Amino acid sequence: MSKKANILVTGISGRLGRFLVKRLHREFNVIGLDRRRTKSLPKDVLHYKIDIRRNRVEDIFRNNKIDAIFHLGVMHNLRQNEKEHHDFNIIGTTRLLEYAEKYKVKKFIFLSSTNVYGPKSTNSQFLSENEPLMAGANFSAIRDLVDLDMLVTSYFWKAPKLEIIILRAAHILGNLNNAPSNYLRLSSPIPTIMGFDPMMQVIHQSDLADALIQAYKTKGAKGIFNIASKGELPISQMIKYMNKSRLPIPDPMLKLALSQMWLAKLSSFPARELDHIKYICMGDTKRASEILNFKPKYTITDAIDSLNTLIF
Amino acid sequence: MKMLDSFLNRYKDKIGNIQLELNCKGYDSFGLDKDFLAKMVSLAEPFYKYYFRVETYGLENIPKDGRVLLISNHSGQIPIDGAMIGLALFLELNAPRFVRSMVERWVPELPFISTIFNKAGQILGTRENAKQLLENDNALLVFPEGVRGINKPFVDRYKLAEFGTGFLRLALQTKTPIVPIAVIGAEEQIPVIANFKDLGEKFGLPALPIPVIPAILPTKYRIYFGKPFYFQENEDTTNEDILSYVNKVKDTIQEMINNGLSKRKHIFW
Repeated sequence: MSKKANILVTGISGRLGRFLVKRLHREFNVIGLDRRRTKSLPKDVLHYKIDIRRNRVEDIFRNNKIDAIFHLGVMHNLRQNEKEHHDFNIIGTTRLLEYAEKYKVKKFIFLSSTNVYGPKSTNSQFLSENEPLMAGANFSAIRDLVDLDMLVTSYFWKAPKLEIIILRAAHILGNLNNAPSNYLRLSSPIPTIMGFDPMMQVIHQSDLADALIQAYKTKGAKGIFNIASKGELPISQMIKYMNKSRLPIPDPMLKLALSQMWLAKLSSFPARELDHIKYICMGDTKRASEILNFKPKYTITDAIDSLNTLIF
Repeated sequence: MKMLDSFLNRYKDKIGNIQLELNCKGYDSFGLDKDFLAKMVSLAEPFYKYYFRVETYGLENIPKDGRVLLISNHSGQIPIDGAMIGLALFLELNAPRFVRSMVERWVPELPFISTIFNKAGQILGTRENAKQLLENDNALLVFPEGVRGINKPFVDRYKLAEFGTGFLRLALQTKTPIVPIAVIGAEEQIPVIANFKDLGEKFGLPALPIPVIPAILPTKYRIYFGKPFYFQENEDTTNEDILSYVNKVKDTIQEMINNGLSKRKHIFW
């Protein structure tokens, strides 16, 4: 048996990070990087509790032969100071890319999101990876992610030997603390925008783990890939599937109410994100299927089921 | 209630027989809702049969299966012509076909209407959507005149407005046959005295037509389906070739319109 590959995984202290590490450490030697404290990591996972921007991060590369980096540690906390947010994301990611090149890491896999395309009324049903990243136009907080996606893309030519893969994932559902999972977990009736019922694409957290592994294993693969679980449904049907009801509210009223609640810290959803339940924003996943041979195991309804069943 | 239910669902089985790629909830990936479509068809069918009393000619020109681009003139202020073409292919063919049409770019902004269009299988008119639908062997209805056609003033009725070239490039790229269609009767359904285009644009609409009377008149619809075109592309195909193909389609439709008009004795019957 060949030796397990050394994988540096960022953002392991979040719920998604912890879930992924548990899946990944069976196949890889996982080295975690996250400045936050964490609990319940598998014993064989080495956790460096360092801020990603610190010079000490380079020691990880000096002391270990890193084969690949899975960069999941994007900060998306809208209550956080914007400048700090931006600094952490951009500087941190640039550092990682520089080390990857310097220490001849083979692969750099970055977890982005189909949200970077931005929900728009003029979107095609399925957006290809070549679509312009328009999310920042209406919703400034996602500009960080758009910037990061473009930053990583720029290394395709800056570091041609590094195999860079950007996975643009649909809304990730699971035992997570992210906006789509929290939205679907709201108690019935769930507010929706009156007169709008866009189709949705999601990804089961296990499918995401498989996609990361598949991206690592596909030799020589480079580029950007949209990934999602099987099938699409309108929001109304997703809510119906959970045996919950809808509370349709006219767009301006919902925006106003939500922005007030956001200011009063009664809601974790910023009003600008409402476009996600108004317009479509789905990725065309053909490329991932053809080049990465990524075939999702779960359907959209499995992903909804996973909201509450997986407990750890 | 029971009567209404059976009225609304009387086409459920017929729609169920059409081959559509649906997921477990009866939706396709473009948002078509089979049960919703069955209800829409049931509601629209009386208008097709008893209000506009649609007559069709040349339905045998529609390929029985596989991808096809249906290219038609566009008129009547609101797109009833599209619905009638769709119903014709569903109600009159022995093996019914489901027609998808491409909607204007501002439609998805409209509450309710966007949802209704979507659930009835109508898609935003982007190149990527059209390409994917044809690659999946759908029948796709396109009005190359767009809003230029549907909002034309009464004096210009039955004169085709300028055709875009997108549909032809798409047909060449996806190797899709083109069936030309002429719709007679839609131009007179809502006679318009003026079009306050500038005012309409302030409300985000492409036009603001003012009708003579605020009603849709029961004009008689006649729909002519022409012989399919099979254009082919090779390395030497130039822009001029494409323009000449477009004009060929346009001239054919204009000729079909003229023929239809000369045979028509009255607007209403």
